[in-house]
Amino acid sequence: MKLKDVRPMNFSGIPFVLVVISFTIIIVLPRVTPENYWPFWIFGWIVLFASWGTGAEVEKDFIVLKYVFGKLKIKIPFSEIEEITTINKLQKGTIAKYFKWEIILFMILVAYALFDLIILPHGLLKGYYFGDIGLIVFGLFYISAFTIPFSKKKITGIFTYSFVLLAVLMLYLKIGSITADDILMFIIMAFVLTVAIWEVYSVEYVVIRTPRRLYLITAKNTEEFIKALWKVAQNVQTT
Amino acid sequence: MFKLPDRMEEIWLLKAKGLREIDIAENLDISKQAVNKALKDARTKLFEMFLSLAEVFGFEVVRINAEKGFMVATSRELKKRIYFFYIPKMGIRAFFEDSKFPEYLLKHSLELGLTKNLKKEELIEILET
Repeated sequence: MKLKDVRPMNFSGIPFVLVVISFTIIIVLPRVTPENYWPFWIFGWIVLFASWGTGAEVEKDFIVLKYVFGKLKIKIPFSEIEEITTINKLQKGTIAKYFKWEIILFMILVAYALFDLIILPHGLLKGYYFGDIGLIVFGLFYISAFTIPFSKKKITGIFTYSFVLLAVLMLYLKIGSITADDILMFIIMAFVLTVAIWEVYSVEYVVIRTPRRLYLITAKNTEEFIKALWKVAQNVQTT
Repeated sequence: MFKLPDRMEEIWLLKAKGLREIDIAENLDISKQAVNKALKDARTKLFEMFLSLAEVFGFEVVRINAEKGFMVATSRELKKRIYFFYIPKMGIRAFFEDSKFPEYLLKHSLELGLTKNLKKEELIEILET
């Protein structure tokens, strides 16, 4: 039975390894080998898309999470599940509590981009600086969104838009001036961040914990998912 | 209806208190496979019990933990949090967020290592984080 509007996230296991590999290829490789990085760069994006969950379904006593364009199936036996939590419905629920490595990955990303921005020479095309500043801002956004409890959405919003001001400051410190074109870029950045906020808060986050691993899935509405689990629980043979 | 069989409950409780499967097997003089099977069955039964309660009473499920035996849910009608606990020998007990938590519940939470003190606030903090 297919679980409608349920998408597995790439925050643990093999999908998370794919995320780390893709981030390394997409972000670090162009800096290390500036020439002929395009084929690898495209490969990095393919790896990132492959890490995204494509769907989930219930097969007998298993919850099946699909990745790698539906080719990789991760089966979770229902009897192995110790906990199911809708994090965004907890009073103080955060993704960071369950998926620390995801936060560490974004921290490394921000630190790397900041270091790269500092060592970039003056007088380059502004795209170089905006690339690093964009990584820092979006890295900080995801760290905030995953660390601040879902119930404190306004605080996340305040943090998010303050990162745009931080971006203005970083560019000013780097090149010494801000032009009208730069301001347009920052407005676009604020718009994209608004879309990112909407995206983060438009779905529900369910953690499935087994003795060996944690899994994160998103759902438009967890009620149907919970009902599907109830049916599985009734069908599992116990003695 | 909402109670585990005695032997299964005994094994589940030892695991909930933090014992390893191998230690439970030695303590009870049974095989590790038997312990593993009993724990799997206990988890499934606890999920079924909690989900059935939520379905029957129309509660919104927020969290189910079969390892320690609790469920966090919300009553849609009353717009209040309800905390369900599986208490050995008693079965499932439910408590509203603004009700007094009995001492046996706080002691049970302490025994399972959920809390470090006999305080309701600490227990709710753990359940809601």
